Amino acid sequence: MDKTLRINVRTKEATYENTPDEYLKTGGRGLIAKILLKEVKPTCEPLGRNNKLIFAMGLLTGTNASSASRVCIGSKSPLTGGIKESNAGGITAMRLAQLGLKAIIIEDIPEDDKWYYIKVEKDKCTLEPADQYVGMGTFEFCQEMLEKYPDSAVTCIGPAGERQYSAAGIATMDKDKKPNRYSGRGGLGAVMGSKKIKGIVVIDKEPIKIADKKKYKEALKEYTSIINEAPSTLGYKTLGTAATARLSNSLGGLPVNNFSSGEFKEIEQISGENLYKVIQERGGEGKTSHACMPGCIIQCSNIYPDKEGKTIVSPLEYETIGLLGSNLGIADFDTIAKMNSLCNDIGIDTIETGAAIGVAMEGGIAKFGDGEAALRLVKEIGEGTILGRVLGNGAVITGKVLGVINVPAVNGQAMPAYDPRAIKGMGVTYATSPMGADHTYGSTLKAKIEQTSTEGQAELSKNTQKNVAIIDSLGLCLFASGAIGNNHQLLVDLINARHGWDMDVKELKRISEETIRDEHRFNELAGFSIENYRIPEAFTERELPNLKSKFDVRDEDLGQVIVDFKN
Amino acid sequence: MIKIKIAMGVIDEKQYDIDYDLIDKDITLEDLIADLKINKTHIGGILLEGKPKRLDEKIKDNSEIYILPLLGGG
Repeated sequence: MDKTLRINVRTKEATYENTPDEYLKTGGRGLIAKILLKEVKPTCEPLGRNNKLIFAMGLLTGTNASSASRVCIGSKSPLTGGIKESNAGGITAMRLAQLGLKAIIIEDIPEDDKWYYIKVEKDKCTLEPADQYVGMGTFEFCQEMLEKYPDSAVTCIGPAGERQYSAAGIATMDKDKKPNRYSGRGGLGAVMGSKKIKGIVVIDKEPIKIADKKKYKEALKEYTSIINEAPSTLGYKTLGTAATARLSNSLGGLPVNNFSSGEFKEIEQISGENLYKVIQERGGEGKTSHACMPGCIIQCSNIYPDKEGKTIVSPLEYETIGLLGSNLGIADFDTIAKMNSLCNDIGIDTIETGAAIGVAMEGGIAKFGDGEAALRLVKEIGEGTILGRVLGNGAVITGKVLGVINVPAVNGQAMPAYDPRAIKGMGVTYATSPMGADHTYGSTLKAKIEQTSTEGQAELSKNTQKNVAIIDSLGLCLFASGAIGNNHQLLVDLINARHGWDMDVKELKRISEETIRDEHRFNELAGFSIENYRIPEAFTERELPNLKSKFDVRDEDLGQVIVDFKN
Repeated sequence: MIKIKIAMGVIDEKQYDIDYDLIDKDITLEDLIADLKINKTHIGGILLEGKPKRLDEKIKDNSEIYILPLLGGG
């Protein structure tokens, strides 16, 4: 139980190790930070032999607790040059944890040009030849694996990862065995591609070992009841994350036409309510609610069908609607869904792609609102044309190539669908996150605060970041944490019952603080200074016209967030 | 009369159940939340008879409305 599987892609050796004691009482993102800090030279080339790709299971991953089996993947990022962890739903982490694995560390790069996939069975791991799968999209690869191993769980890259695009993500199968869940951010797919690993295929299934079944059952009952009864659960189940489109627009912070405005005239067309309506009317394979992993009560996902009821994409989510929709001046769900589906198959982050195309549109490559042109640009990413390769390397590279200075990115990574001039706490998170612009590092969207005020935003972001670091180390979904709130004792009860520990809430908070400190330490050793944690001038000098607002949280306040986390 | 449930987190940390007299037959969801003095940016969505509806949806008598708290993006 709690083994670490180490795979060297040069020697092709796979070894099982006892996880060191110092790693045992952390998991997911926290474990990734610890391993990277100890084993990876922070100044290393992200696509070179000294970087490592880590899959880490959370402290509750593999259990039947709702929404607790997200797959956490981390590495030094080729996009930001700093530490990166990106987590996603799906079934792979659950299966790996059930096989007794706490982490997989993939290291080195191969000396030959051969591709492999990693086959994980109970107590056995092998590298299997994968040259015949090179060039395949994620869907075709998963289908091939399912034909070979019908009950497997697969996590893989598409052509974007093979070509080592900085915006390449890693796809994980959902419970319907489709590679729809994405560790999209930071170019982790490129790191996997640099190691010539097409996928990880988990063959066997085992029941998870629970140390104290009675206590676990009691804690699980309370946990399940809280999530079931939370109004937010009903909201996610009906509207999904798309509900956020209207809110962001109401706050004046929905990205429109490469973040040149925060209000979209056609908001009704891309609202959560309209998404629900269209899916309902079209019927067929469409579903307004859908779980990405077994046992999830929240079921925020959906299946978006075409006019004939055939699936275009699953899920269609807010960040994608914002970046590939309003940010490109596109208000048509069908076009957004088609681009989303292509991105999933190519294996590329929809946020980075939408931001890069937005920059390209400002640079004159296409007109805002031209859905056909946007689709063509996504296809070019998949085809690997020169322009496609530029876009596939993200918004910053696209801006440099095209001479566009209004680039919505922090430390190399594109902003998600919240303008930091309208939602300033989110701007603090973008600026101070060691992962570049990342809303999941500490979203302040739901805070009842004057969102355009500068006051209190740094403190708000800091507190949110601390809470998220707990959740990410458990393998938990942020939407479950929204229901659980600050009931950290309940989480501790679940952890203790699962592992047979006597952890307390204080220790859980220590994990959070250590995680963030480790991440900042890695970046510091990689060459980041406090002055790197800033919002670009495109947002501090350029006013958001609908609110007449700039991002003006003081540099000293941003710096203090970093100082506080480091100490 | 319409039945309105306002989820915990929309106004404060309490849930509110309200019976609302529908005097104006042309009232929309947007009018209703304005009348209830609820800040639009504190609402994640509104369910009318269990289904999400746009703010310009007109309300019929004897309806059931659920005002949801804020949801996050994904």
